[in-house]
Amino acid sequence: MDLALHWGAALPAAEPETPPKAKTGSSRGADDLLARLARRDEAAFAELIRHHFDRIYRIAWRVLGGAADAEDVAQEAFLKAWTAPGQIRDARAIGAWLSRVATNLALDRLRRRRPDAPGELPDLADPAAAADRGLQRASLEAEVAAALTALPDRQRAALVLVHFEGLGNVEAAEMLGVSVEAVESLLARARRSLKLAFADRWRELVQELSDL
Amino acid sequence: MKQNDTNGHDRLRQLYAAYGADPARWPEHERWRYCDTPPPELVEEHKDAHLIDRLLARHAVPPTPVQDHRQLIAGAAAAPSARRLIRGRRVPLLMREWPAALALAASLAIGVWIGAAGIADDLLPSLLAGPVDSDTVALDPPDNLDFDSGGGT
Repeated sequence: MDLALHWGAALPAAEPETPPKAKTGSSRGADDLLARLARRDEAAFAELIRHHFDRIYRIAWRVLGGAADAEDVAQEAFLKAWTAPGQIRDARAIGAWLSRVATNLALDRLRRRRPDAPGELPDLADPAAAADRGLQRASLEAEVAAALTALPDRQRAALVLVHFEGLGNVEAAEMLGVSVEAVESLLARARRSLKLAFADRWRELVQELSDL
Repeated sequence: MKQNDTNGHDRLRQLYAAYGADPARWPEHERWRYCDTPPPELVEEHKDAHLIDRLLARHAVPPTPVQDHRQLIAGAAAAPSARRLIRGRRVPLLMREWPAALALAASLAIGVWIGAAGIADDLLPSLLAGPVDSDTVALDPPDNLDFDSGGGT
């Protein structure tokens, strides 16, 4: 028996709520932007940054485990688009191209960094605000951050792209240079590791999270 | 039918494990598998997936970048284009295009000097003649041979 029939009516397909996929505007607009970039039009570069910087920075920050050099990685990705716009084959996928470059740059940095230096603990977005929300919540945030930082790099990258950035599995697979099945495996292992990190107080967490 | 159930449950288990309990995060073409109430065999997996989703939601938001976008734009304006980059490294202008030009100019100057000094007048014939050995066959006859008279010089 088919599962959908077994459970009754399937829900209509819904778009991921957060965060939305980056949009580059119309196809013509994207082509135009790329052409202007190729002509080294600074206004086009500013437009590119305005549309994509926050997302690219977020990806770098999370893949790097909250390290301070996330900004450098984001900037390097944009400078690659500026110095070699010819590498961007599909103007409509410029956001995906930037995401891929930023992800790979971040993974490269992590490879170079290890095993000499341990991963940095991430900076909280706003420590004062975290304090306001209560120590309990701040503590849990820090624990989650530490657990994510402890994940193998590619597992964390898969989680960042698919879970946090809402990319499709095909897109994430292309960015990581692996198959869709491998992305699913990376995701499942990442989530399992997260569960293991909190295994000793799993039941307690259920209560804790419902209180927050 | 039983086989279909097993396959469906297996895939649903994988979806929970990889993407979590929220079907909005699942591959679009597989969201039809979702239903409010998971099958009894997968209740635990669903709960775990839901809790991990909630844990991930507690992950800190990245801090605001320190640098202003304008700095990046200004930096890009100063950045060289792809043609001026060799394997991602910035190479000074002189090191990039001038070596070939310098070599050409130097060889030209040496050639002019050799010509002006008359060095070539002495060196060229011997250089062109090269080493002579007994097996060498002269392909070109000397200019002063007189074939018409029927004798040698």
